[in-house]
Amino acid sequence: MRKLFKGVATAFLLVGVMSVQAQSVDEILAKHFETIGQSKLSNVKTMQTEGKIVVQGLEIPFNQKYKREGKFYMESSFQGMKMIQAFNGESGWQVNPLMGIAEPQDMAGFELKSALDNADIDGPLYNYAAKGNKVELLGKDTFEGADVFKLKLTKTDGTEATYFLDADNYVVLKTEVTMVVEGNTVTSSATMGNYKEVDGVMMAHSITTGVMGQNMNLIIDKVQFGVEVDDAIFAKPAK
Amino acid sequence: MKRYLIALLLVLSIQVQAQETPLSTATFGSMAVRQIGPATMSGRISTLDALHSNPNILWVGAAGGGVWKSENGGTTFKPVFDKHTQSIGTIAIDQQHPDTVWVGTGEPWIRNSVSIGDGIYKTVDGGENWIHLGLESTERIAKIIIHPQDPNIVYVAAMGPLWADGEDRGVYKTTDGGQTWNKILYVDQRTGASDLAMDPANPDILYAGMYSFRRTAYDFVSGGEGSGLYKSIDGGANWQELKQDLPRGMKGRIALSVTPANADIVYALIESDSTALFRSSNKGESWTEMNRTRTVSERPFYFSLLVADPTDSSRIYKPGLNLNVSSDGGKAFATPYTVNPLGGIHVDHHALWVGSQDNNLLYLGTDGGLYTSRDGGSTWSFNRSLPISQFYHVSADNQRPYNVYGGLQDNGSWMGPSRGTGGIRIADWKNVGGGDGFYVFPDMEDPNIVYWQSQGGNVQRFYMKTREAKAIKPTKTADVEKLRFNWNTPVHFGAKSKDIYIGAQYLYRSSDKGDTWMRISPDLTTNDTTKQKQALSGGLTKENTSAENHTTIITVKESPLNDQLIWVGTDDGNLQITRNGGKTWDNVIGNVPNLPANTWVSYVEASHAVEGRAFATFDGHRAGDMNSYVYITEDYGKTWTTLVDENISGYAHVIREDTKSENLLFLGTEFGLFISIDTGKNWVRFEGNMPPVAVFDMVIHPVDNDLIMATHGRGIFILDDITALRGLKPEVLDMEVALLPSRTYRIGSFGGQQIFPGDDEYVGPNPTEEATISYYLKKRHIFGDMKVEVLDDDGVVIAELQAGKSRGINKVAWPARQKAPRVPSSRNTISANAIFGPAYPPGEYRVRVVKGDEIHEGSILLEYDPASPHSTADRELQHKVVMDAYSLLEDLGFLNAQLLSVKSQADSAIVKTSGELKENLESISKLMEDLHQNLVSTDPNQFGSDEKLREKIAEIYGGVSRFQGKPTQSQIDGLEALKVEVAKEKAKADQAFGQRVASINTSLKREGLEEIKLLTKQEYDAQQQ
Repeated sequence: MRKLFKGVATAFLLVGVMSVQAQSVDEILAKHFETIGQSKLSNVKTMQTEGKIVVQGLEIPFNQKYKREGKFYMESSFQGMKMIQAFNGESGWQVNPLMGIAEPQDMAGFELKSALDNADIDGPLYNYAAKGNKVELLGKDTFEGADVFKLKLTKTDGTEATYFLDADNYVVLKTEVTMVVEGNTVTSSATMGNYKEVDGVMMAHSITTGVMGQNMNLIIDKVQFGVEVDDAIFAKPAK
Repeated sequence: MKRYLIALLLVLSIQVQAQETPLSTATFGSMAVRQIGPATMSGRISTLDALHSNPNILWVGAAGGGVWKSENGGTTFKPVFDKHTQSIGTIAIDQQHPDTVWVGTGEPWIRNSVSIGDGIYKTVDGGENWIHLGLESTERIAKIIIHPQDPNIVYVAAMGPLWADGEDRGVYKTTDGGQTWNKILYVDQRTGASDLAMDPANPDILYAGMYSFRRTAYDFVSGGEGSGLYKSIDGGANWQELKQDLPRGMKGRIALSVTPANADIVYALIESDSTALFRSSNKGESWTEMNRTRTVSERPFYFSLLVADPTDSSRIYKPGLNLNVSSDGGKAFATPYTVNPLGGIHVDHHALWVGSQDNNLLYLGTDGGLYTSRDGGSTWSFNRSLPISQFYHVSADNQRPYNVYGGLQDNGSWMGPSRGTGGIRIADWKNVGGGDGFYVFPDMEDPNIVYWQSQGGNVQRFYMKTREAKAIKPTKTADVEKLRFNWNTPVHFGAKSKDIYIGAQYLYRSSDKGDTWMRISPDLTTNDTTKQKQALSGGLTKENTSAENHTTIITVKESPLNDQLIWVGTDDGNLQITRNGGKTWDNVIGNVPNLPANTWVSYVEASHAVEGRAFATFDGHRAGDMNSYVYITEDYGKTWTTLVDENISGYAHVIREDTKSENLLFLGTEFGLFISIDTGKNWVRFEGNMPPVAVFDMVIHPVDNDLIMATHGRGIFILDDITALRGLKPEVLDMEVALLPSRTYRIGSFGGQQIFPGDDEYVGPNPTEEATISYYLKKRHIFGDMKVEVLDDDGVVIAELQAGKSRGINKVAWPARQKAPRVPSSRNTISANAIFGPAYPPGEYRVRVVKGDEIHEGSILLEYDPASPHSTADRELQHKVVMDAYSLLEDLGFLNAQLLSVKSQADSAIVKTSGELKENLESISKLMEDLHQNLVSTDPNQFGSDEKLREKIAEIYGGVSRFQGKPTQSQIDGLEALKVEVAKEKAKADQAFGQRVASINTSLKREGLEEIKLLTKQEYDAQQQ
């Protein structure tokens, strides 16, 4: 009886494997980009998101601005004190008096790599091959009770990211990123939810990030496309 | 009758249809166990391997705690095998392809408490993903050797089943990377391969130690006709038994070692009636006996391990009870220790790795964890990051935070807190007893007393303050036979009577903490004398450690509803009940259907809800029966019904009925935790952060409502707050959204400490310090808004929380604090004392789960800790002072914003003006800045001590809010004084606003420029800080 059960289970497993194989990476990604409105997003030149980081009952408001190609600016404040991270497509800088950085200082290491990653409005999955990235389908799994496809992306700099794509809706529910920073690996994760359409683009409005065991909740109140973004904000000011 | 049946079928089918969503692993959603450690004493390591080209890459296999990988030489470890069997036999890194690692499961050190494996696994990505590659029934794998030139060729030494005959043992070979296996050496159904070695110069030459062995619940036989040393020179196609110069009689366990330093040399440790170390210098053709002292001959079943130095052909290590090394090819052995004669390391060694680039680098795996030596074994450092402790039992007290208590394999008895400052650290754990540890209990009346025991029923009443222990084991009296105590003797505290029970073959009861024992039963076991020969146990190497003591009581439970109703289970399969405090006993084992005779009764749970109800688990693994047995009775044991479904796996150790919700059951087996919400009709595995580790014991905390688990391999696990599970009735599973009951939150303050212990310590995570709101979702929420809100009595939303969106149970933390005061801002500093808002007062708060357009309402209770020393009056005064300081900070924040607003407007106007007006604007700007700097520190030097009004008020605010009781008079007076100072600053500002700004505005208006506007409170409140 037990053997029979096992046999049946194996048969189901095989069916599962076959249906996974039936969908290639590119087919899954095509559905993903269709779902999230990538064709609209591709026309987006600038983007602004406003929201708050909620951690231990504290609310830290933030404002992020994106501009093609690869420019990113984020301002947040705590007790009215401003913190800035900016990336101009090549280098990044930050002001964070909380960490003793009262004057603009260049970013390095994990922070710089993260900023670089974050600055790509489309993300590394889109046109991955043209960007030199590799994507493979690891198989099906479940995440928070939802069936997901696990896609593994490998970037030229050694960064590896696993995407958990909802198998019914093709939106990303989670990413796990492993970066190589000066020979050592740093892992981070982000869990997405509250997807809402903004001008034809499906955007997560709830993100929980985890870096080195520390979790932060991001609530996104507003996403806007096509806002005016002055290039000057990305440049590192003298003071 | 037929119509009745059809009607019944209809009803059943309707019921079946009605519940569309079955209980599943996903039902538990985001619920997850906390693995609190400890790593203080770590636990038994069965195997390890490191990368010779980079020994910072270190893999450790635990006896019952899975596979751990370090990339920094052991500073930190990551468990990489948490979805698989936790009993590890051997690990082999493909030294040419370091991301390829093979794991053979099932520990080879076959002590009485050893677990089982389920075959062989391989990873090709450094442990992220594992492929199971068969050999499922080998039960335990002792060695894996990868061909150095062709990684698709792999040899496996499989020991095979310990408690039964079986053909799945011997030496196996794959030539296709594990897709298929050939058994290339097999002797008989009792004999497996205990070791395997490959000629370092010629991978076709193999040496295999074949070992005949068998355990039962009451006996162990090491050695037999099948044991022998074999050699192959053709990659395992043909084998020849090596006999020249070797013992002629019966042999036992064989350990082997070869060294790349000289491929001709082979070492073999052969158990026989005179166990000895042999050495061959011609690839096994002839042998010389080198040593037969106890150093090499002790406990072969547990210590058969030889490790030849990879670079020094005359040096060989013999790990065992202690570590010994020979530098003359095995003639003489000595400890390598030079600083501490005992070596500051745990005894009982099972794994040793010696570096080939630097042979002074040693990693040693023991019964008490991992040690590293960088000087060839002279000195050792203990690794503090492997929480692989093997608990037998667990209990808890009612202190706050509560402590857990338990005993461990070869690591004594311990207690530790369920919450520590910044996590549960090594220093938080206290050793309370020695030997192997089992049941440990706090005295519920006297926190100075802990009861612990070592193997064989040596129960002690231990006084914490003086560290004095009183032996309270019952002794034989004239009217009874010699007492038989199990290795793991049951000690039980009656839930109703508070009496202590101890089981030998008789049951003893004491109501004076063990000073006086009443024997309340006859021999409750089968008293089968053929199973009482532990003194003869051991086979070739006799040992009598109480590990094979049998025909003993193994589990005792007094009914929580009736202290005259006591259940007893014995290791030889009797299940006894008394309903009159022991005057008469009924053996009801015959009423248990489909259970093999003499099956070990692993646990009896008397129901908290119905007196006649009980649950029993049985464990036949010591007879080779790996099935799960779980039963329920509703009639004092007259009839029993099985509660096993196909979702349960592993032989069963323990079942607990929830103390508050009778339908909720927890089952611990060799392969993890299983939960039922319908009194055992359906079960599912619990997977939240929970590997399939053996769960030996469980207790539900009566106040905190946590499920506390003793795992035999990963320490103590706590499933915090099972209140939500209590609300998870089967009908809830079909609801799209359902709020579940939330545990009453106790308003607390948690403190901190200043320590910098490095990264090499395992720190057990704390429970959340926040109130928890629980709800159930039928599906993972993906699209549209979802949030959790908390409302006050007036319906005002006081907190908006990020909603958990997982399918199943979600737990959302609410800090139960008001928003932090909007303190005056400074461009360079923050006010650390005013980061957090004050705690909300006790009461019932409304909770809303908002999912799209739907709103689901519930509530959560906040209360003061009843054990807190603070009076209500003191708390009210504290709250008043905190809120006074809060208001003062907020007033100051508004004033500061007004100043900065005027300054900013003035600065904008300066560039558009000239002359006196410009000078006036510059002057007002400076005045505003000066006044601003009176309010807050703007010193960018974070080490500065620039104290302004904000800092002074916040110091009082922080000080008073961190302590829930009465503030000091000095704090109260200080705050009053600061109120006056704030009023002064406000007067200065108001004067400036009223006179200087008004006058400037007249000029600005005259110039046609925009006037400076004073920020209103309304505008200020509308700003997001």
